Amino acid sequence: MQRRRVLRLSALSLTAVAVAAVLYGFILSWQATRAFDQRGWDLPARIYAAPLELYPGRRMDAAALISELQRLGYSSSPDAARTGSFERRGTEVALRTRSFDDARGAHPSRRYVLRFDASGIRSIYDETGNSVVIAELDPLPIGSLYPSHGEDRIVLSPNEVPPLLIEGIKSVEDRRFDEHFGVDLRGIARAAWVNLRSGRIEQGGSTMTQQLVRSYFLNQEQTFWRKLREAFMAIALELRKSKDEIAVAYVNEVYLGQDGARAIHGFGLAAQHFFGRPLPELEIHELALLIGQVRGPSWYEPRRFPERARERRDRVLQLMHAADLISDDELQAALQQNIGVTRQSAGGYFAGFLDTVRRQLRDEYDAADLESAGLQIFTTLDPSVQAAAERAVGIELDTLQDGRPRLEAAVVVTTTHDAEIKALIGGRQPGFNRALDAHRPVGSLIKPAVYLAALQSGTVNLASPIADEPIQVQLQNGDIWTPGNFENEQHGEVTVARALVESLNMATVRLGLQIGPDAVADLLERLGLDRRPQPYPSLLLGATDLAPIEVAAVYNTLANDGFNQPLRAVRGVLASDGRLLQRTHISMRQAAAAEDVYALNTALVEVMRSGTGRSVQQKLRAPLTTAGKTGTSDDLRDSWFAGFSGEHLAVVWLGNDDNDPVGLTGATGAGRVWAGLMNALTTRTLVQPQPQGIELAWIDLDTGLITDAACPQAAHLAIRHSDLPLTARGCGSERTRIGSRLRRFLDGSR
Amino acid sequence: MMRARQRVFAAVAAAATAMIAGCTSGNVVSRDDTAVPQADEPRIDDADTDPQSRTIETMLARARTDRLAGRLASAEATIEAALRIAPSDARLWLELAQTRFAAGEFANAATLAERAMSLAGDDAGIIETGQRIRAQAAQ
Repeated sequence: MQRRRVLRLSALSLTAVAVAAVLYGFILSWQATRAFDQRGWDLPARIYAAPLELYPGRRMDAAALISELQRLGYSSSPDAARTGSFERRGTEVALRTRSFDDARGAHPSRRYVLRFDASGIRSIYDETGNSVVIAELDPLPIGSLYPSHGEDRIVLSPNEVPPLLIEGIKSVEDRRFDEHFGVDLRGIARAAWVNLRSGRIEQGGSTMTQQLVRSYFLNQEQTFWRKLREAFMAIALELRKSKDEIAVAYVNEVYLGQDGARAIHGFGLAAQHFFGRPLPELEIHELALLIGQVRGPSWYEPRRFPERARERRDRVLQLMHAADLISDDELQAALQQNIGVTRQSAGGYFAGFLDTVRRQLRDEYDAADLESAGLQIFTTLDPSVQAAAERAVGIELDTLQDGRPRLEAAVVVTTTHDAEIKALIGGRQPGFNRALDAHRPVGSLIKPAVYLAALQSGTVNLASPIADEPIQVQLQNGDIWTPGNFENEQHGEVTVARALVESLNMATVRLGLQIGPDAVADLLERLGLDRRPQPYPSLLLGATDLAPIEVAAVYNTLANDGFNQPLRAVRGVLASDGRLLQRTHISMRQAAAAEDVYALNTALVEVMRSGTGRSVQQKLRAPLTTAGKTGTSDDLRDSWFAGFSGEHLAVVWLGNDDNDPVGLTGATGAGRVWAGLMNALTTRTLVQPQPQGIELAWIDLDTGLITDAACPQAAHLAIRHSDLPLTARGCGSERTRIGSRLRRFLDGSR
Repeated sequence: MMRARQRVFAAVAAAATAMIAGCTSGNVVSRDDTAVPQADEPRIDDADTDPQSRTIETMLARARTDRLAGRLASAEATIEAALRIAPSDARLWLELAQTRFAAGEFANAATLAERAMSLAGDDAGIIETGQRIRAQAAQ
């Protein structure tokens, strides 16, 4: 009786264990398959920068074009015979584009010949000898959209993976890949034997499938139970997926390197990271280098350890040759090559900009739509502008960081006429996107809104007098606020223009209170802010927190003669079958009268000429007319600069994440980065179209009198025609001021 | 009765206005006097016009043709590309306004017409067309 009960209990517990094991097996199998499917090649959407548009008349020399082509991974080839190549012959450049799709349809590969002269591109001809008005190049891929884990990949479809790559990987990592069922028992036995004999772990014995599973579940600890789980999952995966699918998944997933904080997974991204070219264009020795990285991405890192990387590559080439994948000649030729890795990671990691794209898409689409197969997303990014911005931040912060180890930066650059975001930097370290999410007090950057509101009211013009004298403001809670000037100076009666040009706080508050903070808050909303700021008196000096992108929205309206458009990061989205899903349009509304914005901008030009921005303007190398404003918040915690040319607007912020003062003003901090950026761009000078009813006059900034260009404190400012006629006086002499004349006239006296 | 000084001022202001109004495109106009047409090169008419102007003219004409033929998406893409080259050319904004109008986006068309007029200086043709679009869009 006892024995039967014991037997029954044993049978029951064994059954229970068996059932549990089987259930656990199903769970593991489900986990492995799910991880595989989520990363399937057909899931992510691909993201592209704006394509380079070449046209006769473009101010670009041959060297600059070659540079852009190289960024796209084009290489030099005799007569530009290969797709993705160019040839320079003196003042002529021949190039053959890669084929691509965009919102206008399929663009086949085309060959163009461009002729250059002293001012830029003179003419463009295609293969048939016809002259071409716009030659579009294939756009630079800048990332993939992976809704499930948000990581970066350049995911390849099966027909984009070179067969030689897969066979090469097998020959090095998993010779019996095609035969085994997920684990390679012979391989494990061999590895165990080798390790036993040498007394340490030398060989892994892991199949590609096991490696794939391992990479899905980050923990790299190789405990016995982990290995067992991995083995089981690998077997389960092999039951559910074909060898081809697993091989392609491996190509897209395997860890191959590190770029700062960004992990390089997959051969597509690795090709871009190490060689700056798409994987299908790599040559045998380059593929071999990448394959060699699998075994030790840090140990064999080619930029840090070029010797080791080369040795490893050569070993891979030998293995490939032994497996009859490459001929004797090919082997010898490949062994002769240098490793050929670019000096630094090309193709760029536009983390801040990609973040902006993802958010704009999330606002417009369901997540389900974005996860559908093979979307192509065409963005507004200009890689050369992004490179200029990153370089300017890098160079300036190298110096500015002395004594400021945690100094951070954010930059937004747009083309003003269409509000397209050309570049965006979220910070020095990826992670927190300060351009979008760091809301910081804007300080004096707010002043143009105050002065525009004043001009709009019709009660003042740029030459009107305003007192830059102490003022006490009673706040709602009963406290008294006493705003002061930078360095506590006061200037007595000045012109409205001068108060803006020199960013005088007391005058600004006086003016702002006359107009009313409500009017300023309303205007800010119309100029492009998503929400209306609180209309406290302190708003007049910028005691409101804005993110750099919000500042850019407001200033872009000013740069656009008062026409407001939402800033755009996406131009269009294409479904996998080439169907156009969405195209954004230039769409604007008039936020402020052109005359008032014109007048304001003449003052902002003066800010750069003789005001708080002059040290920034002086750093500009080309004779460029710009308009801008410096911004410094309380205790020098935030350094801002916003300024525009006739083509580009750039907003720069410097500060500490923990809000510690940085000891930099708008001009000495952000302004330097801005100047560095503008110097690196090809940009048009600012020429504002003059509206009807507006006159330009030389105004003495101190007295408000009309004078001429010879007067040292004169500025070329705009005054409404209706505020004239006036008596012209000499430079610096008193009596008749335009503003007070107008006031007396309005008061009815004569 | 204008005094002498006022007359001088008015003249200076008028000249300044004319200069500013004349430079609406903000682009550097270049002329290439050194290019010698090759024997196998197709003849280029108006060899004296700068390349960029020719580019814009061609694109404007192409967009117009597309619009009139109902190919609005193509017309719009061409105009937007042209605007990237010459963002202050009022004719391009006007053409874009007409494209939007043809697509039934009246509010948009009206604002784009305003934009064109703000850049038109004293070009009566553009102002007149712009006002017409604005009026029609309002209905």
